[in-house]
Amino acid sequence: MDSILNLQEIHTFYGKSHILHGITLEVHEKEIVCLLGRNGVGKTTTLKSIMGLTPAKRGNILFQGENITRIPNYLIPRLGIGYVPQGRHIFPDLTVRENLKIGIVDNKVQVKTYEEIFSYFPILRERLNQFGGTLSGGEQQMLALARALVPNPKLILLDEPSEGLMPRMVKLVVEIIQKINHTGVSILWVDQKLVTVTEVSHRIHLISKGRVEYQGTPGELVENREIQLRYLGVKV
Amino acid sequence: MMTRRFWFLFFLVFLILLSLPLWGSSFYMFLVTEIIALSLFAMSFDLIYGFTGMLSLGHATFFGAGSYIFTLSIIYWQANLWVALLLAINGSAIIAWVIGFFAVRARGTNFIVITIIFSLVIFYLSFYYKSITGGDDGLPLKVPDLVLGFLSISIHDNPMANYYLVLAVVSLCYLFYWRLIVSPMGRLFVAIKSNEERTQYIGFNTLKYRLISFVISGAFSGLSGALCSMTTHYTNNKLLHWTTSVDVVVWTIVGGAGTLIGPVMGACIFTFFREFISFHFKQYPIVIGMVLIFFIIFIPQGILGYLLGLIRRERK
Amino acid sequence: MAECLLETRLLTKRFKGVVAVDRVDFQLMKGKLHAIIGPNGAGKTTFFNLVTGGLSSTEGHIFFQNEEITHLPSHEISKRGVARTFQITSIFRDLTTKENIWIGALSRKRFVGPFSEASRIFDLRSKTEEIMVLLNLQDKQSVVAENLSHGDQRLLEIGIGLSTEPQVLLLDEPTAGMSAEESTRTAERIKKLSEKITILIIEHDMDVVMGIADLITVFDQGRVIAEGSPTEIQDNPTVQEVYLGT
Repeated sequence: MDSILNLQEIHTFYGKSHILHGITLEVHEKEIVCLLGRNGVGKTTTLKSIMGLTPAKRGNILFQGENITRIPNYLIPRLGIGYVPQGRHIFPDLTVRENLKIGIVDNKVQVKTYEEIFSYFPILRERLNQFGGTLSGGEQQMLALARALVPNPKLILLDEPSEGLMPRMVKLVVEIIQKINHTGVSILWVDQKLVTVTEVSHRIHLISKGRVEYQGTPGELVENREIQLRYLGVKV
Repeated sequence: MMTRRFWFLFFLVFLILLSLPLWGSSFYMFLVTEIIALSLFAMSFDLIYGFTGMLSLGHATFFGAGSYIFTLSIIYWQANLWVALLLAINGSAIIAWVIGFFAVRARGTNFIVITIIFSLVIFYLSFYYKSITGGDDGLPLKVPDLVLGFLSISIHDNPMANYYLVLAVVSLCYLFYWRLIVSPMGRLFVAIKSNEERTQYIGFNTLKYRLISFVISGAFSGLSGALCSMTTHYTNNKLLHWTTSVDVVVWTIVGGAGTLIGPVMGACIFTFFREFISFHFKQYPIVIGMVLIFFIIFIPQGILGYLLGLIRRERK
Repeated sequence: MAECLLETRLLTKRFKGVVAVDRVDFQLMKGKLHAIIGPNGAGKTTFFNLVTGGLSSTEGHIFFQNEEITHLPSHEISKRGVARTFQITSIFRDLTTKENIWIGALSRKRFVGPFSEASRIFDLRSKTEEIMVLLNLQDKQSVVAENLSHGDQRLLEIGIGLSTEPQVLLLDEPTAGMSAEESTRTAERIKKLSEKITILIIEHDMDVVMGIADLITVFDQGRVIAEGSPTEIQDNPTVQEVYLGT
């Protein structure tokens, strides 16, 4: 399987605060790769570094073989990377329709039709003309995912997509993500809770203090209680 | 900054100023008197902007108020010189207290807007009460004699006495400001400018101190206005106009905020500029605008800020 | 009997539809190094903001040394002896290291006047000196804070808090953005400080927390779900589930 995303020893800072101390990981085509870790370890920063929102000071980020580490961040979605940020960040004063339209980042790219979007997110059909801010948490998550999906990306970055959602919604979101993956889209998924991603991910990385400390399949990780407690729980 | 080189320059300038009436023409003496009076306005603005971090675009209110209080108290109450000056300071202080009470509860843009609004209201009031203020026609003024014990010195007919009085008053004010900025309160102003939230979290009621800074600034801006009218024997409501507010901001940015002397340099440069360039070039405000833009983009620390930076690098 | 310095009763903070802090009863005992941990969105920083006066509570009460401080503004709470540091460094960037700490020390003076010369006030000078030495910053006293290394800035952050002579020091993620080695050193420093002053710390770094805390309170979704010694917390199945999400 080819590599679609390659992070090589990424170091990222917030001002002087050294958050990523050399992140190295790889996402292969059609894979769902998960990044787990407690708060403050650098999971969101990793995604933001890929999207150029907090560019990496050192190291390389390769997307489909091309070095995108320091290109202007507004160009990155046009390369085919979708981003669903933590907290969704849909536009509350725009309608669902307008939110989706914003997802068209490049006029030259073939975008999904409304029908295709509704096939993944039927709930949005009814809400098309409602303002984003009036949607429930779960619906907003759907919208954020849909928006990222509009330009037919090859890779989608998800930051805690199930945060703050009811268990029923969480299940739905996970199902949709799996459905998206089955059409050939690679996924890099950041989360805190192991149980959310065990069923669907191909590989899991555990991050601690800005470094990848463990890598394995869900099966391997589920067996290893010690590692779980060490990097995700409260054990030292 | 308080090096030997600084003191040397300082005394040199002071000596030049002291001796000016002896070798300068009456035109220059008048101009320099005006500049010295305006310097006080510039320093007062620097206190709230360069030191306490509050940008006011309505400072003409205090400058003009001081000028009017001075003038009107002489015209209507026959106040003597000291009383008129004191009334100007106190009156401006009270106005600053009232405006400041509302303004300091706001931050950034909202603060600016509040200062502008009060300034506009007062400016328009000056037109409305044209019978008292003379509006843009203004009011001529007969400056009373300076009475010191049994000595009576004419100020109105004696430009040299006027000059020395202005120099003396402004010098004292400069000393006051200098003491203020090295005092604990002055250091606190700087802390508020640097990080107001943290200043609150370490136990200071920053509203109180911002108001104090604002009132001191307003009071001395008023004194500056009074001294200007004393020198020109005239006042009009242009002194209350927003362009006067902008003037002092321009002097401060070009001269160098947070240095006390920088804005004085700015006042100097622009006043000379106005006198000499406007003679040749009627649209000189355009030039002033371009200069301001240039400084904001390339030398935001102002002339003095730039020079101080050079000195610091030279030391290393 | 240990003295309770900081206490909250049924402390609640509601934002539009979200309960960030939910009826929290909490006690900070004198002389202890107490840590608050919890997964994302647990309400830890909101809790800090409430007890330091940065945020107004919806319901409940906050007491400091048995005095009710629930609705006091942040500067009043600081005056009573509660100091806090910030997760995102909040120092006086354009002042020198020395001036940063000096300003904190100044806050304990009853009168801040325009008369004396600041640098000549002796007791402020000596207090500033003391704290700089304590944090090993005296060699950098004339460096403008903006130019300090991240680690030193985090130390200065704590130094400013200390200079206000607090009874209680609240540290918000003091090792944020530090490498593992720096975190260890900072943890040791904090442990040493706790010998003289009561400390409440929010942290995500489990090595730090388990290494130095006397007592740990676990928050989840705005509520306290467990409290105990490091060993007790590590062995607590409810806590593990909350973190692992099962």
